[in-house]
Parts: sequence; C-alpha cells; structure tokens
Amino acid sequence: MVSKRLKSKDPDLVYNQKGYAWNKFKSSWQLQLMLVLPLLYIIIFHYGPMYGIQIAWRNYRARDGIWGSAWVGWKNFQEFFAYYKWKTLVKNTLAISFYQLLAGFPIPIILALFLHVSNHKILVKITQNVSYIPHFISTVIMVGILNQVFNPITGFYGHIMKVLRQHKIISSNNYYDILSSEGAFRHLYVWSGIWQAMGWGTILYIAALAAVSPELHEAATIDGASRWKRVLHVDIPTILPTISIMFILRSGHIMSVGYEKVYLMQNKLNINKSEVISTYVYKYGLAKNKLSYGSAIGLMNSAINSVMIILVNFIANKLSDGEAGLF
Amino acid sequence: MKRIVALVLCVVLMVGLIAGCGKGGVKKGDGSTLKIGLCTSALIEDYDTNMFTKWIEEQSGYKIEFQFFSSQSSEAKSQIATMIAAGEELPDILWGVDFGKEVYTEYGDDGYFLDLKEYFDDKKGASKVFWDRFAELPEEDQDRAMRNMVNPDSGAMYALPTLQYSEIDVMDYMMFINQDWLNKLGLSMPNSLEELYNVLVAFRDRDPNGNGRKDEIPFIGCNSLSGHVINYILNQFLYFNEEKSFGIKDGKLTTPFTSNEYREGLKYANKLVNEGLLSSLSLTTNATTLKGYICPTTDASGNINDSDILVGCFVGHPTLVIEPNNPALYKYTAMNYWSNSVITNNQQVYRTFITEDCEDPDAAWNFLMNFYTEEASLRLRYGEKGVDWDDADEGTKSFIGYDAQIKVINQVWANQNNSTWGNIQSTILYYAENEVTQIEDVSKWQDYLNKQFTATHDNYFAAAEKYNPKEKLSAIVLTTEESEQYSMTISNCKSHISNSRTSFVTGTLNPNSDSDWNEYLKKLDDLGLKTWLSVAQKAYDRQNNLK
Amino acid sequence: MALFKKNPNKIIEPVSDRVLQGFCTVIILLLLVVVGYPVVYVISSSFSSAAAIQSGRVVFLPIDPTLAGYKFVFQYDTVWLGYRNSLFYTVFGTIINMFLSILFAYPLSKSDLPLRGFYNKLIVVTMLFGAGMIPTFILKSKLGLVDTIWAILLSGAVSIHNTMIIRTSFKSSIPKELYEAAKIDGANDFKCLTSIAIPLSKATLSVITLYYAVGHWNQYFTAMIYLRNKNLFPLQIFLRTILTAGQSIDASSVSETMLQQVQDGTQQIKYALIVVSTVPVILLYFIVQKYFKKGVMVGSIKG
Repeated sequence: MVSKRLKSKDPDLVYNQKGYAWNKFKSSWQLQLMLVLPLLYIIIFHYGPMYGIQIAWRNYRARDGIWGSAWVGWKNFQEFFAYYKWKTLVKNTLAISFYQLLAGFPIPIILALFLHVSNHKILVKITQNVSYIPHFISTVIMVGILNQVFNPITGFYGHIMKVLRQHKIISSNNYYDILSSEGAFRHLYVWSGIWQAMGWGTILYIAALAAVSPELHEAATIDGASRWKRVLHVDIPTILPTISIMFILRSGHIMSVGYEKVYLMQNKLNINKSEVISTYVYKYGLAKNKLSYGSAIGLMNSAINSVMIILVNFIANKLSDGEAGLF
Repeated sequence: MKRIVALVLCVVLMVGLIAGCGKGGVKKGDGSTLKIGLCTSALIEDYDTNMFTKWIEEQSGYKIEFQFFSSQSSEAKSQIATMIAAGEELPDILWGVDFGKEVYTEYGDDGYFLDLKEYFDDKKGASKVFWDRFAELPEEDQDRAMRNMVNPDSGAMYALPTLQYSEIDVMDYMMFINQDWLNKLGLSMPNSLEELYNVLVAFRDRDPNGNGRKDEIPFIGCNSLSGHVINYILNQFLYFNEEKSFGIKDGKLTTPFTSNEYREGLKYANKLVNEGLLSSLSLTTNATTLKGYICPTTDASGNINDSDILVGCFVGHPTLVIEPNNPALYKYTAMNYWSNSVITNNQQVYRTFITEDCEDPDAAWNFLMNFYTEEASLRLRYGEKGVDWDDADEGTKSFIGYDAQIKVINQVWANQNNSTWGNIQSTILYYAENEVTQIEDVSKWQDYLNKQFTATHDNYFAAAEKYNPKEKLSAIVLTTEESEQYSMTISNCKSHISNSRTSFVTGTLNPNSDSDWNEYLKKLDDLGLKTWLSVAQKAYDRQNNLK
Repeated sequence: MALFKKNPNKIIEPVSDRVLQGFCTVIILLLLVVVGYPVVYVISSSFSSAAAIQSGRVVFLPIDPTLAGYKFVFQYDTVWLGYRNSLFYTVFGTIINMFLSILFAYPLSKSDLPLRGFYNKLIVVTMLFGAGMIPTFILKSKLGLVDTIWAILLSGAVSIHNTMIIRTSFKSSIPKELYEAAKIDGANDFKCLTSIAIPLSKATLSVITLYYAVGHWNQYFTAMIYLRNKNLFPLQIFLRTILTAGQSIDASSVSETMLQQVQDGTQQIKYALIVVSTVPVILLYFIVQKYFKKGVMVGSIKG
C-alpha cells in the first residue's frame, strides 16, 4: 500500500529511483512463481472462453458458430424489456435476494457464537453435526419435504390447522393453502433456504472463533470481563474480517436467485410473486434454444452484481480504513 | 438350352426381386452397428443387457451402441446443444428427445438432422410400415399429424412421430358426487348448474358428514389435465379448449376467451370460489395430494369413518385421485350431465431424428421402421412377451368392458425392470392399459369403479356430440419466421389470458365488475391480440389451401 | 447430570454468564429440534414402506419398517460405480483445489506484493463475468477434455470465493513479525508458506478443504454436460435421475397418469438413496473437524 500514498515524484525517494520496481519484482520471484500455475488456470479457463460473451449481441446459430452468427446489436437486450412483465421479474428477484441476504446472513454468525460460547460440549457437538445434514439435501427433495410439511390437510401444517379449527380459533372450513399463497411465497422460500444452510454456514465462523487467541481471552477475564463482554469485545472483533469478506462475496450474487428451487415451488396462484428472472430465462430462453437471449440477460445480471459488489467493497474499505475490503 | 435356362432364371430372379420390393417389408439389417442416443430412465437396470434391446437387435438385424443423455429433457437439450456447438459427433439416431418444434426445425434447417422426406415419400417401399400404421389414425389426427410433420416453408420432414391411437381416456373427465351425502340431505342428483350450486351450498352448510363441524369441501379438483375443474366449468358455458386458444366459425377464427359466455363461466366459478363452494386448492394441488383429501386414512381393518369424509364433488381420473381399495370410493357416484371439450390424448410427438453424422441413413431408417410394428409397441410398453405379458385368454374382458387383448403377468411399467427402455414415448403407443389388459379377479372396488365408468361412458360421448361445435379447428402451424417474429406477442397474450383466468376465478379480479373485465380486454389488445389473430388466420387459410 | 455437578473449586461465575449460558442452551436445543426433525423424517422414510410414505403416515418413526429401499439401491451396479467415481473426483479434485488455492492465496496475502493491483483486477473481472456454457464447452472440447476425468478435475479447480477466504485468513491471523523473524533466520518464501502460513491456518484450511470436497461430492451440472461415458458418471447423476423421475420439470404431452405412476415407482428407493449418498460426506466432516478446535497461536510470539 506504499505506492498509493507516496505519489510524489521526488527523485530522492528510493521508490522513485530507477530500477526500484524491477528489483522489487525480482526479489519476490518465489511469490510470483507460486502464482504461475493458478494464474495459468484462470487465464486459460476463465479468460479463454470470454470471447464467447459476444453471443449476447448476436443471434447464435450452431451452424454459424460464434463468429459467424449474425450480429443483432442490442436486440436481445431490448427483447427482455419488451416482455410485458419484466418489471415484476426484476422486483421479485431483488426482493427475494435482499430478503435472503438480510435475514440469512446474520443467522449462521449468531448461531456460531452461541455454539462457541456454550459449555455443554456434548450438546453442542450433537447439534452441530445434525445441523450440517440439511445442507446435503438436494433442492428437489427439499421442495418435496416442504410440500409435504405444509400440505393443508395431510401435513404437519394441516394437522395444526385441524386443531385450530377444532378449537374454533379459525373458521371450520378454513383450509388456507399456504403453498399457493402469494404473500407466503417469499417467506417459505427464504426461510426454508435458511433452514437448509444455517448449520453448514456456522462452520467457517466456528473455525475463525476457535482461532481467536486464548491470551486475549485470558487478558480480558483478568480485567473482569464477563463471558458476554468477551463475546462483544474479543470474539466478534476477531471474526470481523471473515464476516466482512463473506458479506462482500454474498452481495456479488444479488441478482442470482437460482431457478431450480423457485421453479419447483411455483404454481398458478403464486406466480405473480414467484416468477424471477432465472425461471423466465429457463422457460423462454433455454426451452427455445435461444442461447443468445439467455446470454444477454445473464450479462445484465452480471453487470448489476458487479455494481453491487464493488459498491459494498468500497463501503467496507471506507469503514475500516482499507482493512476489511476484498480488494 | 443353357441360354434359355439362364434367361428363365433371370426372369424368375427379376420377378422375385420386384415382388420382394412390392411387399415393401422392413429389410433385415446386416449386423452393422447403429449408435443411438436416448434419455435414460431411472427405472431401467441396464440398457445393454435389456431384453427389449436384445429383441429389437434380433428383429432388425442391427447391433446397438448406446449414448446416454440426461433423463430430464431440458438437460438433454443442453447436452446436445453443447455437442453441436463444439462440433462433436452426434449419435446416428436420437430417440425420444424432446426438443420442441422450433428447436428441431432449426437443427434440421442447419443440417444437423437429416431431411427424411424422401424416405417418407417412398410409401410403397421404405416407409410402407409407417404409412400402414398411419392410416389407422382417425382422419382428424392424420390431418394434424401431416401438418406438423411437414415444415410449411420448405416441405422438409425432420422428425419421426409417435402414433398414438388410444381412444380418449374418458376416465380423465369423470366427475363424482357424494351420493351418501345426497341421500342424507334428501337431495337428488343435480342436473343443471343451478341445481349443482344448491347442492354445493347444502354440502357446505348442513354438515353432511355429521361431525358437528362445517369442515366439508363441497367441490375440488386438481391441477393436472384430467382434474382441471376450471376447464370443466367453462365448458358448461362454451366450447373451450385451452390448448387451442382460438375457436372457429365459418372459416374465421374466434376468440372464446373474450366472449360473454366465457365471462359467464368465470362468474359462475368465481361465485363458487367466493362462497367457499369450490376450493381454490384445485388450482395448485396435484393428483397425489388430492388423493389424501378425498380418502381418509383407513384403520387396521381397512374401514373408514364417515365423519372423516371431507369432499362433496370432485373431478379427476379415479385411479389417480382415489386411493386403491379405499372404501371412500363407494360413497361417490359418477355424474352424468356434463358435456366437455374433447381434449384429445392423441398427441403425436416428434422426438426421433436421424443425424447428419449417421454414415448409413438407409440402415437407420430401416432400423426405426421396426418400431412401427404392433409387437414392438407392445414390448416397449409391457415388456418381454411370455415373461411380463402374453396374449389374453379367449373371451376375457378388460377393465372397462372391452375385449381384452393382452394379459399382464409382471407389471413393468412403473417399476424397476430390465425389459423395456422406460421412455414414455415409444414409437407407437398402443391402447391404454385399462382398455386392453385382461383383468384377473375383479375386486369389489374395481367392480364398483367399472360400473361407474360404464354408466357414464356413453353419455359422455353423446354430450360431446351434442354440445361440441361441428366445425373443428386443428392446431395452427406457423412458419419458422412467423414463430420467431411473433413468439413474444403470442406468449405474452397466452400468459395474460391464463393469469387473468386464474385471477378472475380466485377473486383477485372481479368478473362481475365491468371495469375489471374491460381492463382485461384492453390489456389483451395492448399486448397484440389482433396481431396474433391475424397471423393465426393467415396460417389457417394457408393450411386449408394445402388440402 | 454430570454437566450440572457443582465443582467446589470453580470460580463462581458472574450472574450474567449463567444467564448467557442458559440462553445458549435454549437456542441450541431449538436449533437441534428444527433441523433434527426433518432429518429424522428422511432417515425414517428410508426405512419405511413406499405405501406408508405416499399416504403421509410417516411422521417421525419408520412405519412398516423395511430394508427394501436399501436393497434396491445396493443391487444396482451403477450405484457402486457412482460411489467409486465420486470418491475419486472428490479426493483428487480437492487435492488439486487446495494446491492451487494455497499457491494463489499466499502471495496475494502479502500487502507488498509487486503487481498486486494487477492480480486483484484480474480476479475481480473473473468474478463478475462468466463466459457461459457454450464457449467454455468449446474450449474444453478443443483441449480434448470432454468425456474424460479431467473435465471434472479441472472444472472449478480454483474457486475465487474460497481462495479469497484463505487469503483473508493468511492476512489477518498471521502477524508480519513471524515472517520477518523467519526471514532473518534465512527462510525463503516457500519455507514461510509451508512452515508458518499453513500450520497456523489449519482451521480455515480444513474448512475450505471441506467446502471443496463437498462441492465435488455434490456436483452435478459439470458432470452432466461434460461426461457421456457412463463409467465416468459420479453418484449424483444417478441420484438425480431417480429423484426427478416422472417429475415433469418440463411440460410433456404425456398423460399425467403415466408421470404419476413413474413417480410412485421410485418412491421406495428415493430416501434410501439420499441417505446412502449423504453419509460419506458426513464422515468426511468428522475426520476434518478435529482441526477446528486446536488453538492457534500458542507460544509463537513473545511479548
């Protein structure tokens, strides 16, 4: 970070003297060598295919290949905005994304803190191990379980409704179908996702908490801090860099609500709230082999994701004097 | 002398050859290998050692090498798209892959799939088997199939269709009412919409299941094709076939979804939903879940409690929406009144192609012709002859009273097996199971169901005959160019129609309110309904000039 | 209970600590129930008969207990083949992942690395823009990777996401003084990496290893696109085929009756397959998790 601060052209400064940069580079040859293989991978496999991005501006036909396909300019992008419901798509996508971020991000952190603080080692161990399992349940199964649990007559939810009906708390022919409710869709989607991911999400934070220096804790205890105070002043600050990085990385996915789970949870009644960009692309893009169209929409998503991640990174850097940023 | 013998021999040989060609039978292969790409099915143990594979190899005289694609057709499409993009070699034959018309036409025009027209045109030779089968289809289906097989622009034919014969499975359109409750409440079987309404109100209010709670669900369906309550109701007001969108009168296309009858139908459905008579679960429930609503859990000895019965009327295919052997069935009687749109099950699908990487297309075609024999179809559907099924015993009847054709020994269809290829679309789908298979012992449950069916079967067709319009509209086929240009308009319109229908029924929009209705119509215009109509009319005129 | 026995030699905790502990216990128990119940449901279903699952009778414990599901699963050669392949991809894939990620993260964790800005920009761009399925496939096809094990091992060999986490860990949990001390003692960069950075980041590295490993074990899409030879298929492909059998993710013109029947036919095997395909990763977690607990900086710096 030296070069950023000292931009003066004073020839007496060693940084501005001839050959300084080259010498520095030479002396770091081992580090540069370490980077060779990973960089090679990235250049070949990430940058290599990038020329393919242009199919968003073409009308891709396999026979013509990428270079030979007709150039159509911004037509693919315009087509998206010609879809009469495009505003709903964007609204739904962003709403779900932000909801997921705001509700789902803090929970693994909080849980990790509780698990770390608790003295009941056996209970903690059992709970931890059990809580990882939902992460492995595939989307298809997850939605199946959701449908079964919330079935208004035969499911867990249905049984509760039955009891409520029997005690006249709700009217006796109230079979409110929560799975087809527009209002409930986002909640069901987000909270089932949180349920699935929260246990697994604690792993990273628990590892970071375990790495907190015991000496810091000792020092704090000697100073008379209770466990709770220690959480606030030792544990949390130490894992702040991890939290920050994870948040920045997460915000780079703001437009990426994956299609599969939404598609499985969609039905005629909740479609106004459950149609997101990815399901739309899946249904109208892939189904008709309109790869260019899908690519254009994907690029727009990426652009928005980029803006988000750069913005959040900028804010994180500003708040922490450049420490907490990703780059 | 020798010369004469030689001459005679030549003549005999030639006559023999001509006679052989005239027969137009499927030529037996020479043992060469064909590569077949298909979507795997989870239920098949091993395609290579599969009994059907062995049989078809023997029958056709070719060896098969498989290339597997994902069981989900959308993924299979991606896989093939990537193969094509990278210039990789495709298998000789793609069997049962659902691309959709636009996509396979594009691949065909670009040359990845071969134009099979010359094979199809060779009606006496290479494709005789196919056309013999084709001639067995009803006229209307033949028309439609021809329209779909031949590309309107170029006349090219890229896909081999399945040919489905089965009569409409009337069971898909049965509606049942709880006779028990009718008796208890002293009501008679409703014979009009008015009477149905009154009966439903009685179901809702008078606690016919006697458990002291008003928890009855008067009317319910499910969201699959057969339990489609909304279509059912709408068809009492006008002929409405959701898939076709348009109607036809005197050669001009009409828009049923903007008509007053349609609005009346929506009003009626809306009334039912608003007053708690038609459950809105009907729009989102699937058949399996509906089963759970209709059939209460049985106790250890297989009995149910009358007070646990919740449903008054329901629509749906009884074998799907009623738990087998659940005594709840006996409470219900099939209703006889309703007319319905004849939504045909005879959808030909176009999922088999010969690719440009095929070295010997003649061989591939010969091989595929083997699928159009009756035995191939039966084997593909029912398994190995003599092991999983066999010819029916003399004089036995099928489940719905027709003469049985086969008897099933081992049910392979939805179970793990190694005697079929598992894919749902075989090249010919023969009769529906409940029409041709011999029933062994008729349980009380099956017998009851059978009786319900036979009582309504004839009336169903009579009602369809009486109420359905005489002028029939078969599917409109657009050119590739038209499809591309107007696809956004068409999908926007269709989407708006469908969403609005749901909204009107559930009450989000009010069909009684003129402003809501007019707004619906206006939006439809804004989205380009007139354009769609004119394009479709043009296509229709064009199709009829083809005749 | 042993947990609550009073130790007379213990320092009396302040009240706030006891409240905190109590609160912790409640939350943790809640967590256990909320995640535990569906897990129990899945396990119970795998031991129940198909009919019981269908009719919704399975609530907590197995109904009509049967091993039929597991028998079905293990009689398939494909399952064993899938297992073997998945294991292979997971082990070797993760080794490649960690190797490349560590080599990548370590130099980037040095704030005085020449060209650091350039590297960062390079990385950021890859995070933001992906080329898409077709161009990537064309590239891999030209390299001859399609339908080989390398298509899997080399896909996602460097996850920027994970690399950044490792880099952060190197940067924030290892003080510069350690490196300086080592350099004075004559260590070069490689030695620093292997003797200082890696041992002190064991916790994070184990977590990332787990992330990569699970990613490999669960991955489906790459295998689906790049593999044709069924001898190379990982377990997930087979799992997916069964789980989505008859479920029309795409609209099909086939009768609902048939779709329903196919779906019902796979009921028995579904849950058993889920359990069978999840167990190995859980075992892996048990192996790896002991590294989380070790304290890190004991005695490394004086004063």
